[in-house]
Order: sequence, then structure tokens, then C-alpha cells
Amino acid sequence: MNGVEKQADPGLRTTNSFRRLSGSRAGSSKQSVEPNFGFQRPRYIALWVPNWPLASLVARVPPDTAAAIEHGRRIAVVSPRAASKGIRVGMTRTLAQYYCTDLLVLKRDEDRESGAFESLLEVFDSYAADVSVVRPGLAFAPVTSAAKWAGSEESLSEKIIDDIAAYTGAEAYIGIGTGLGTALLAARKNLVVPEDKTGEFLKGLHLQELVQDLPEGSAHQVSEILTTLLNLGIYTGEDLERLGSGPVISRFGQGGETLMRLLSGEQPALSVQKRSESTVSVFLELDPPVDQIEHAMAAVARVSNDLADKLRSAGLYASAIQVVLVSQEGRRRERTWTLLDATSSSQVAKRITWQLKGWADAGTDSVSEEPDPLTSIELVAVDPGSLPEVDPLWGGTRTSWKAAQAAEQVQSLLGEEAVLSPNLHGGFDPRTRVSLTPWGIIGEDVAKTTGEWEGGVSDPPIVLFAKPPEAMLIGLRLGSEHAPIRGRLWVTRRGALNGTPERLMVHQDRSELAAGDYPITQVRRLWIVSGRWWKPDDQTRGARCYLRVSRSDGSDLLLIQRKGNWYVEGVYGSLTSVNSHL
Amino acid sequence: MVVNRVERLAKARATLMQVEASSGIRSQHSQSIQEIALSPGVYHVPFGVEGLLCSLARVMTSDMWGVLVGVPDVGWEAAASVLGLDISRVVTVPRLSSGAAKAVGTLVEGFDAVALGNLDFSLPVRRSLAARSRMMDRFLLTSTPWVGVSRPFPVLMKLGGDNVTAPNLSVLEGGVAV
Repeated sequence: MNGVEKQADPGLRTTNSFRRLSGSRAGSSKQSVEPNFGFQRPRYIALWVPNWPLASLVARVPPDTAAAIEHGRRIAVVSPRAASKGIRVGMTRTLAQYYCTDLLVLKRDEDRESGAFESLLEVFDSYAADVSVVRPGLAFAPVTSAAKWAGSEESLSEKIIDDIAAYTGAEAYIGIGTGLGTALLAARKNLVVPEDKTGEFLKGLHLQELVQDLPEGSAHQVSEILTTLLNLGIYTGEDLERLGSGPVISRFGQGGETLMRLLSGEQPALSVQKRSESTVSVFLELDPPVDQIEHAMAAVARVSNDLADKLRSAGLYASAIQVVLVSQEGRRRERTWTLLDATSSSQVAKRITWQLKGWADAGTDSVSEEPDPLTSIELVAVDPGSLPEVDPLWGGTRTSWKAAQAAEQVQSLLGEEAVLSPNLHGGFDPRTRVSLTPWGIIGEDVAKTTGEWEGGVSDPPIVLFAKPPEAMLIGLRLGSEHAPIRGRLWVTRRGALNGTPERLMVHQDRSELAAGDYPITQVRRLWIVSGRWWKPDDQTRGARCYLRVSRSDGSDLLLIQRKGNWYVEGVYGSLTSVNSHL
Repeated sequence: MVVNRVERLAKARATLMQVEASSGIRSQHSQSIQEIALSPGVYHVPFGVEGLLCSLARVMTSDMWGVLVGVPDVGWEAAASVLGLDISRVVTVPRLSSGAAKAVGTLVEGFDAVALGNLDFSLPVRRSLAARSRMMDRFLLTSTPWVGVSRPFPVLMKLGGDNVTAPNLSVLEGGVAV
């Protein structure tokens, strides 16, 4: 049984299927005095709700309904009923609805997910102290004192699962293990992992399972290493352990160290080197108090940026923050959010928004209701420390981290859309073959570069105008009935130019091409792209023609004809001009 | 179209460079150019977008990160396939308005190579950025000369000489080989 299989048996469970990995009794005195790692490592309890984006909709989605959550243009989460009808994550909405005509497709809403998770956290809070939230659907806390109170770890788990099912109707999984990483992974399998079985449990996991709780930045870094390891035939924790930590860390640097720590049951994102006892915090008083979440967004952005600036200027890093919200009537809501990068203002702002939403949805304490508006926000970086200075054998990690930090800082200064990453993919022309996504956003599935692009523009220009200047192509027009006349040229419905170009008049100035009259010496090539002919108003992907022309006094130009009008799409480099002769 | 001797030579060099770029090798000749000329600092690069992209491709080694600032009209596909620029390690800030100096200062701290389009910085700001890039061993590439601050990009300086030593930069202007 594993977490994925359990999803086929959705919510509303009143009895639990909680189980223990065979070994010594968790929570027994014998077990707690037999550490495997030379020092006493804390045990944690983790709460996980499978398919939380969907489970959070339990009130809106009738049981046994085929439902899915859509993110972007693809299906991101699938209910067991929908899965049984062949719906899979990654499908387009159209295809999913083709397979299952009564499929209920809902948009993803992280704010609503966090608000709904608050009710589960309240149950969790009633059993365990110091609850930290990783994201809506996943939280953890130290287990020792809670287990003593409940009698045993097993008993504690059963009580929490039953209470959550009774009060919220959600099906929660509980995992208990030594080290945070172990607990989070055990929660996926609804297991108590005794301390002496920790190594066995972790070594049996696939590497992909090991890294699933890493924060975005670390996950991206480790995913590259995983690809290499999988290609080398290293699939499980056991395979990785056989390599030895020395060779792994020396070759893969910080990413390798992250993997080895995960294999020992730690959660490396929490393992920064503690520098001092001093705290890093920011406080913002809202004047006037804010009674709607939307009105608090500016303040949220400001405190997030302030905390990030403070940490960076002190050369510190933190992977957990405490958010304290205080209302006008003195109500106080504290929550610790973890497994994040506190120097990333966008990640911090997201957590504050989730907490605000949770509070607003909590009913009587609502900040969105007039009686009790929000008056202050305080952020505290939990255990700030200096970053580990480990570089991989072939370099790169440290420089990547610095670049990421700089890009995030500029995003916080100018907006998320200001810093973009170019991505190449399939398409019929140089513009549609490139997409620019905001830094830090992982692009959606894109078309492959190989395949069905025959007939597309094969020569990309080095300058591609963001706003193509308008132009007019002039030359000797051909005609069978009349004598040739000089005039405006275009590509006919038959896919041919209706004359011989002589001049190109560019009407608008651009930094790479001044407005003016350019003599044309040669037409190199014509491409016809029928595009989305059924969408005539689609400026980028509608029917269009491309023409590459040579000038007597400059580089080649790529022209585009759209709806009978010419524009200069781009300018070829002189080097590419030469290449075209080859 | 008649192809004269100079154009044939340029074609041959371009082909060689393209093969080198696609196969991941680089001629001994161009390697020596890099070693001699390319030390971190502030350089001005002529030939607009193409010049900036060429110079960025030249200065960036496999573990470096680059950023293009204030250059909206970039043909990324050609930059990758023709110039050999590793665009997976390049980001762009196409437009800057307010806070430009602070943003560029931040980028200089984080990125190994920063290429700037037409950004109108005052002399004190230019000096400050230059000082920061030198202190942090960064390449700062500008599309216009920063008087008293920048120097010409060294590989491009070799253009026009009898012995053309940078094959991928030898035909930058007007399609005429030099």
C-alpha cells in the first residue's frame, strides 16, 4: 500500500488504515534510547492529505464524482473516480473531457486551499505543539510530548486521523519518524517508522520519492542530478548509499549533499549553519487597519521584501518563518511556515497570504469582516544561519544561487514579469518557437522542437522585434493581361509574390533598423504558414507569410505579411547572412 | 549571385564556427583569443543586439550566468543556434524604467556577465556600476561607450586587421567580411 494507491479510496473515512513498519515499538522507552546516529535525533509527526487541492473541495464535489483540478491548460489533480475513467495528470482539458464527458473541471485556487487547511490544522494543533506548515496539505510537529500525552505514537496518530475525519470530513495520513525528512516521507505511506528501521525505510525509497518535499530552488537543483543518477542506474536510496557520501558530494556539491542528508532522514532545507542567537524580524503596523485581504497585499509585499533585504544584508538564510497577525481587537494568529527560502520575497508573501486567507475563512475571527480588521503583521525568520559553502566538483551551484537571488531581488523591485527566462520549443517561426517565462516559474509542457514543423521558417534572425515596424514592399508587379507596373507587392492566395521586389519602405524607427527606404537586391526565400486559419484574429499564430530579403546596404531582413500588411519581423546577423549562401 | 573570394573566406569561417559551436569544440585559435583578451571589466560593444549577444556568448563559460538588460529585440533562437549562447543560463530584463540603477546594481552582484542595451545612466551611476563589477569580477558589456569608464571589447578591436582572429565576429557589419 502506498500513498498513491490510497488515493483510490477517497475521503470520509471514519476508521483509519494506519500501520506500523515492523520493528521495535515506536514510542517505547527502549526505542527512544537507541539512537542510530550517535546522537539523539528528534522524532516528528507529519500530517498529509492526499490530493489536497481536490480534497479541499470536498464540500463542493459530491462523493464519487469524476472531478479534476486544472492548472494552466492542463489537468493537475485527478479524483479517484476520474482516474478510473482514464483521466491522467498532464492531459489537456479538452482531451480529459473527451474521455469523460461528465468530468467536473475546476480551477486551482491556492488561497482557498490554504483557508480550508486551517480547519485541519486546528485539530492538529489540539494534539501537538509547535505545528509548522510546509504548504496547504502538509504540516508537521515534534512528536515526543504529544505521544506521551496520547499514550503512544500509534494512539496519537489514530486520534488525529479520527478527529480530522469527524470534524472536517477529510482523509488525513499520518507519518512518524526520526528526523523531519523521514516523518514527511512516512506520511505518504501512513506509517510509523521506528527509529531502528529508519535506514531501511529510506533506502527502500525511489530517489524521486526522497526529494519530493524539497523547496522549489533545491528541487530544481537536485532534479538535474537525479537525471544523471538515473541514467547511471542509481534508482533507490540503497543504490545511492552504495556510492558513498564522499564521491557523491565531491561530484555533485551542494545538490549531492542534499541527497545524502535526505537519505539519512534529515530535511536539508532546515539544516543551515546557525550563526548566532540573534533574531531577524520585521514588523509592520497597518494604519488604517485593513479589513479585506486584497487591501493588505501591498503591506504583505512590503514586509516580505523587508525581511528578504534584512537577511541578505546580513548574509543569512532561513528556511522557516513565523508569521504573526494581530487584529484590532487584539486577536493574534501565529503560524510557522517552513521548507521555504525566506530570502525569496515571493515565497514569503505567498505564505502570509495563505495565513490571511485561512484566518478569513475561519469564521468568527475573520479579518475580512468589519468588526475586527488586521492591524499588524510581524515576520520572524526562524533560526537564520549562514549558507553552507559547498560547490560541486565542476562548479556552478554557488553561482546559480547568487544569480537566482539577484533575479528574485529585481523581481521584488520591478515585478515578477520583469525578469524573464527564454525557452526554446517547437513552432513554425522564430517568434512562436521561443517563450519568455517569468524567472522562477517552471514553464508548462511545451511543444517539442522535433516533429510536425515542416515548412516552418528555417532561418532565425538575430534581432527579433518585440514590436515589428510596419513596412511596404514595392516592386515591379507582374500581370498577364497588362504591362508590368511598379507598385505595392504582396503574397497572393496561390502562395507567390505578385512581382519582383525593388524597395522596402520601413515606416517606423527601431533601434536596430531606422525608418527609411531600403533597396532590395534579392529575395532569398518565402515561407507560407497557414497557422490557425480558423482564428483570423490571432495576431501571432494566424495565417501569415514570411519573406527573407537581402539589402544592398545592410543585413538581410525577415518580413512578415499578415492580413495583407507587411512588417519587419527581424534582422539577420551578418554572420547568418553568410550562412544562407551555404 | 557572384561570390567573390572574400565572401568565400567568410563563408568558410562561418561554417567552421558553426560546426565548432554545434559539436561543443572550439578552435585552438579562438581559445587563445579568449585567454588573452577576456578578463572581467567594463567593455563597450558595437553592432547593437548582435554585438551584445556575440560578446556575451564569448565571455560566458559553462558555469556562468548572464543577463541582458534593456534589450527587448532579441532573436533567442539565433542566439542559441548560431552564436552558441547557452540561453538556459541567460535571463533577460527587456525593459527598465524606474529603479534601473538599483536593478542593474543588483544584477551585477548576482550575474557573471551583464549586457546592457541603451540605458541612460549618469556618469556617477556608471562609475559606481563599473566599480562594483570590477570588485566582483564581473563582465559589464554596454552597447554604447561609457566615456572614461569602458574600453572597447577586445575581440572586436581585432576587426579590420589583416589577421582576423575571431572567426565568429569577422563579418558583423554589412555582411562584408573583413
